[in-house]
Amino acid sequence: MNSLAKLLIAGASLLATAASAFAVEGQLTLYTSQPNNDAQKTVDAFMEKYPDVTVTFVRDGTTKIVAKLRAELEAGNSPADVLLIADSVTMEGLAKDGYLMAYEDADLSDYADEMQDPERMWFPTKLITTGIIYNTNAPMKPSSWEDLLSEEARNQVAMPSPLTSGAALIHTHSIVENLDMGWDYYEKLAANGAQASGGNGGVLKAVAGGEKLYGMVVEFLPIREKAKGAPVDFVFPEEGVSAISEPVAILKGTQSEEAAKAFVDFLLSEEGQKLAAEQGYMPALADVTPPEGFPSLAEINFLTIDPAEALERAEADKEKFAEIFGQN
Amino acid sequence: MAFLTDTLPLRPRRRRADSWYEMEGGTISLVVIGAVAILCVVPMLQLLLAAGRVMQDGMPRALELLASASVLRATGNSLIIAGGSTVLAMMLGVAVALVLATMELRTRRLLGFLFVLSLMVAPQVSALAFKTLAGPSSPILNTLGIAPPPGTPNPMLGFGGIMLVMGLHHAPLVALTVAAGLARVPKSLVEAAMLDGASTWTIIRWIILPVARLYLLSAALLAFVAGVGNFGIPALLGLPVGVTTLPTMVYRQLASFGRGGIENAALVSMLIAIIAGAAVIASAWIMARRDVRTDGERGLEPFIENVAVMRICEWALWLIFAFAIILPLASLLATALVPAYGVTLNFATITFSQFTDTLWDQALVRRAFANSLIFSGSAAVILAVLSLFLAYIVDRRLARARIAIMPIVEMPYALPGVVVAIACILLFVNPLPILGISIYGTGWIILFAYLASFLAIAVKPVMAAVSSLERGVEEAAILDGASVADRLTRIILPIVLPSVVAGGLMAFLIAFNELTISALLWSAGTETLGVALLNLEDAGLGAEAAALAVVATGVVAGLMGVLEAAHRFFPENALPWHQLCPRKTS
Repeated sequence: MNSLAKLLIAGASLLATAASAFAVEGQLTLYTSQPNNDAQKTVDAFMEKYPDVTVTFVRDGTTKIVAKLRAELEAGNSPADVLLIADSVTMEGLAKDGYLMAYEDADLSDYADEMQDPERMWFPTKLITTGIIYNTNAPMKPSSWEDLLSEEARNQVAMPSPLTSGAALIHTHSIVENLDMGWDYYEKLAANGAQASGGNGGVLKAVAGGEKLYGMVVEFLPIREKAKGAPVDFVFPEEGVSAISEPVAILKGTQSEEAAKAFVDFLLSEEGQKLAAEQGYMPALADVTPPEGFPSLAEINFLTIDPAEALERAEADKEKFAEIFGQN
Repeated sequence: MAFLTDTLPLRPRRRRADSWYEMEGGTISLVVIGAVAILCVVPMLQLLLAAGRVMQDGMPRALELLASASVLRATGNSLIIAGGSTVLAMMLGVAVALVLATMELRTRRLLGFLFVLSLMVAPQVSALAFKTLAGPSSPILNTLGIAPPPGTPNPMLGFGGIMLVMGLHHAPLVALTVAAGLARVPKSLVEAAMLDGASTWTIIRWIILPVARLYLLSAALLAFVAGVGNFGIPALLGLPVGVTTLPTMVYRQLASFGRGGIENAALVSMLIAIIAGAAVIASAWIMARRDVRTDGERGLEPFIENVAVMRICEWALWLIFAFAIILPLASLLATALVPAYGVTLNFATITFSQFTDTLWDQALVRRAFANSLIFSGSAAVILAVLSLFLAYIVDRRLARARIAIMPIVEMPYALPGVVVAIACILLFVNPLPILGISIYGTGWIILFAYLASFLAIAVKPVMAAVSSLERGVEEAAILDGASVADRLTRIILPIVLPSVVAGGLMAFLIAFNELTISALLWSAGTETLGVALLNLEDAGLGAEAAALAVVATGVVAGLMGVLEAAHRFFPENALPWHQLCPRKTS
């Protein structure tokens, strides 16, 4: 009798767990820095799997969307539930200020542990590197960061600004830390007529449209546009590329915790990672085949940084950059 | 009027033969005054208070901010751009107004329609169109094989491009104001001069332009104010190359620093309001001194009949319009027809997938269409109703207060959208008193700002219609004891309905395309078409942005076409493009 009761209770609770997995529902607001079309595909795929969850997303450059988010959080009325932005340094800043919710039970069994945040506040979803884009009609095929300082590249370089883009913030820090020239590299770029403004999308447009011939940009944009026929190509420079992980996190004040967790689970699942690869991103999960046009991980040379120092220096880096290139 | 007694309830009341219209409508007056106060006065007071607070906190800090290098540079840029674009807008606008008013060209109605369409197309769409037209990847220039080589910067980016696009965009604004002035040039003056054998040029130079000179001045000031307040054009053509104007600076401050920057933004908004306000007041002062054509005298009508001159002018206008209006829009369309930005358009690459699926896959785009329709549609309906009350009550009960009320109504429209938006943020950033709910971050704040900004547009034709009504119409009903509400709904409304509809539709068209206000007030889920366009463009999705612009322009052109088709039902000159082409009466 007793054991029967136990069995019944166990069965009921099992049913309840199963039911709750299916009955994830509610409204989710996602703040993201992904280009609109990618964010839309991601959200659509998630909603197909969880039809009772409605996701609305807002997109802007990482620096801008986080400024918007922080202002709302300080006023105590942000609609945001989930955050999917370029870099973990910015995430770490939000985690330090107590705005993120830890998700201890996230299934990370397939992931290498050194990539993960020990406090489980944020989770890398991809690997995005910044290298050099060039217009295929350009006279020079660049192969190193130094090539952007050459005479051929005078007035022909476009790059994203850390005041808009999280990838650009990490990239700036990586270049300054790794190239012998340090900030002199950016001073020389500015002297060579390079233009910094807005996000990576603007750089792609300027180079694809032929208004500039070279640019610093996140790799998935040119690789994808090249496949569609745009006159652009991408190179991984000799000195190495900077890398970001496009982490996802849950905001502490979320009203839809279950749906938010489901969204994180979805991005980390094999299905979510395959979707990222289909969209032209290098997935974070090593077992998923990277999209065409990417070299294997072993071939890529990375510029390394210390995340703690990057976080500490973020504001100073932005100011220094703005001093050299103007407030764009 | 016997039939009125059948339908209207008899309600005997004491009659005041001279001033019945000043005795009733108290409730309506209160509603109207309340609405005008909430929409037009309170937000501006908030802005004044906020700017005052910053100054009180520390005058040195406030002055330091206003005198900082970035504010000074933005102010200088704004003045240069507004000035330069005004010169271009005046040259083109005055020429077009003169040609259309003095010659009966065969295609004048179409020319007028096209010209006003170029004003109704959103400024950010114009900017995008010109950006795609020039530059190395221009689909049109590439098809013709005359595109500049890769590595050439886009000539539309920077000061020159901004002034060109803005000047062309505001030229119809100038033309409309000048046309109103030309309509007040007495026809008899021109006829007398012709009898004396004066040449056409003499008549234009020494009669028409001097008589209409105050309108010319006023048009220049209007174009200048529009230039100072314009956001869409410098946002697309200036920000990418680091040229900031005052409105784009306020926008960026808020975008990068969130609400922390609101106090500074309020101060800079006050600066914009002062620059624009000075020009608006100057314009109002000028218009108050205008020469008034005596009643019954006919205004200027087409008098030039030299076939050669007419043909040359017609060809010249078509040529200018082809370059300034048709070609950029064609280029926008071509940009939306390639699979990826930068691909040359030809028979192998052409695709309509943008319009059939890619564009509509984006929830943002679907939502933006729905939002813009809802916000501008409900604003138009509310404004139409309010306009009827406002026009009626200002014409009757509050006739003496008209001189005070109308400038207040026009103020939010005259001031740049950035100023109105900042004022609304300040007003609604805290929860509403008593109700305790906050509309900040919802669609309501955008609707509120639209109501405040576009009331002046909706009320204009209604005002004209109501004040031209003979009082006798109502007096007969009063004799029968009809109440003010009865008279409004059963007598006035049916007569002025076309004007109410025309005013509402004009407000709808302008709100539908609006970007400046929503760029500062949108949040998750309340994006408008303008915001979506800016967002797609910023994400590097050039083809999608172009496709969206094409569809939005199509909606506007379609609505204008509907208005044109129904023009018989509207009072004469209720449609702006008709004002450009006065009819010949004899």
